[in-house]
Amino acid sequence: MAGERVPDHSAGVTATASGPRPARPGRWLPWAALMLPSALLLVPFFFAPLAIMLAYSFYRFLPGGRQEPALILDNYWRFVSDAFYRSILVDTLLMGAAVAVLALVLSYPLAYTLARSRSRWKGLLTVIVLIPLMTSVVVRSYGWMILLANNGVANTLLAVLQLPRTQLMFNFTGTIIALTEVLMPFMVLTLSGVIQQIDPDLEDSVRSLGGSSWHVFRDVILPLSLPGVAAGSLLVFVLSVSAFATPKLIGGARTKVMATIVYDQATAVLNWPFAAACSFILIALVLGLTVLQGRLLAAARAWVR
Amino acid sequence: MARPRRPLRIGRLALWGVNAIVCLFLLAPILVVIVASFSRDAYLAFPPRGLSLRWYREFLASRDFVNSLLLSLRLGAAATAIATVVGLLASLALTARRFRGAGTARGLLTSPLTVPGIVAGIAMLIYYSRVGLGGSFVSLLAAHIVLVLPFVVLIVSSGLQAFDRSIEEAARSLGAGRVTAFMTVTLPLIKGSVLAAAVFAFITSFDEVVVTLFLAGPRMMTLPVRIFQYIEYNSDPLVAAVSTVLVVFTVAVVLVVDRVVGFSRLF
Repeated sequence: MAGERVPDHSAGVTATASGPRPARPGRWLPWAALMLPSALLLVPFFFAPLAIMLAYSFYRFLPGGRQEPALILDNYWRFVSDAFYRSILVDTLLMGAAVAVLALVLSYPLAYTLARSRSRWKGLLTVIVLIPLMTSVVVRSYGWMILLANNGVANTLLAVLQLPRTQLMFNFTGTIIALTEVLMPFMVLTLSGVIQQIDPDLEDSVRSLGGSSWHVFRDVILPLSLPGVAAGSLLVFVLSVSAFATPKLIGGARTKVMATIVYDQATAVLNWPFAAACSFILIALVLGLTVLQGRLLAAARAWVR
Repeated sequence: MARPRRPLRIGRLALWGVNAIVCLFLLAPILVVIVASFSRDAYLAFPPRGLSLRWYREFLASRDFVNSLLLSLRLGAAATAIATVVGLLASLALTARRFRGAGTARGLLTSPLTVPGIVAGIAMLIYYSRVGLGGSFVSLLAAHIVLVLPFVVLIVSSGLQAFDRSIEEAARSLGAGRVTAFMTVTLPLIKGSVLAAAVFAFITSFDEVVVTLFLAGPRMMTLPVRIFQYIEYNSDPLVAAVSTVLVVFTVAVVLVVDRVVGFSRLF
């Protein structure tokens, strides 16, 4: 009885039953009314806070955790001119890149299997990928704190493999490992969605011409999945650059990233103007990355043709 | 489409081997926390040296943690209820053919997803402090509604787009009013999406920690925030037990609703 819940891509375009209706004046009113509750929620409780924070980023910080209204660029200038903060920005970007690459490499085989698997395995694999997403990042980070401890499972594993024990907590190494696991589900789901669109007949035709699995991967799967690779990598990169809970818990006080700087400035130093400026620098970074990826993707598509 | 079973090759075995390791990697931290929560000793050791339920008893006896659990449940339920209704209304507007600003509206509605949690958190901290609502239930509720609304909109409008509106138009042409047609025709057919959106919203609110961390007060601490504060300085099996309760709860909610609705078809 219920209609299809998910658009069925292989069935082609679903035809709409009725033709176009003549536009009647006043027809927009019902739609505006339906959007009103959302506007009433988002404007005062989301856009207004962001606007006020933007204003605060130009305020002057007064010692003692207060600020006075002003229109100065000191806070932004402080971030840009101080090598300490610039290095934190660089560290954050490098960490994000490392997490994205690691997540890509680990997620790809699983995404491929998920895209090509039959219903029995598909359900189980989907659940396995979704369970981390349904679990609070705090719980997963706690699990990593246990695993990466000096006498924890990770180091025991290294010892078993005859590798030297390493410090994995309170540094970037552990943070990168934990963040990779935390963000992998996003990569797997993005990649799997794209790979699913690749026609399996293409793989079969390469095999029937005598190609090995490697040829199938190199000549069919990899090129056609590149949009998914780009989208998934960007998503994971952006999420890890903005990450707070995991770097704070695993990285500790000495591992500084953009998000932890904002937190410390806002709650410990109580320098809200500076924290606000750092926040907007982070937003600008995220937006810039998204736009850049859009351009790169368009250029790549043009080049492929 | 039936495919002939391929012979078992080294390549396939290697693929499955890698997948098994990756799946283990994905689930490792959660499994570790769950197992550690049954530890008999007073300190956190993995693997635990003995098994016991004592930390669950400690959890139930801890007024702080129990209050936090109740707050998380109340907050989640309230935010979900409001966000689902508001999101459903907005989705109806967004998927209407005649709404020309739909693209922009959709972008605005889902913008909370693009703002980093830390940024939203500090913005709301500043805002609610100025307005005098710092550390109140209202501020938490408003923040959570804003954070889960995009998910509701995305899921419900996706369900609406897959739904053939001509059935509703047929009901209207037979004389049903707009609201009646919606309640008796459209709503029952999209209830799967609406339910999925509600579950997603609840879980997102229940697990939310970064923004909530900024808005929490000493008596308004949700469970994830209390866990966060606790593990910054302590590490004992109590918080492992609390975390396990959090995990089991969310997984149970999803599995139960999956039985009823069938999520795996959504992905």
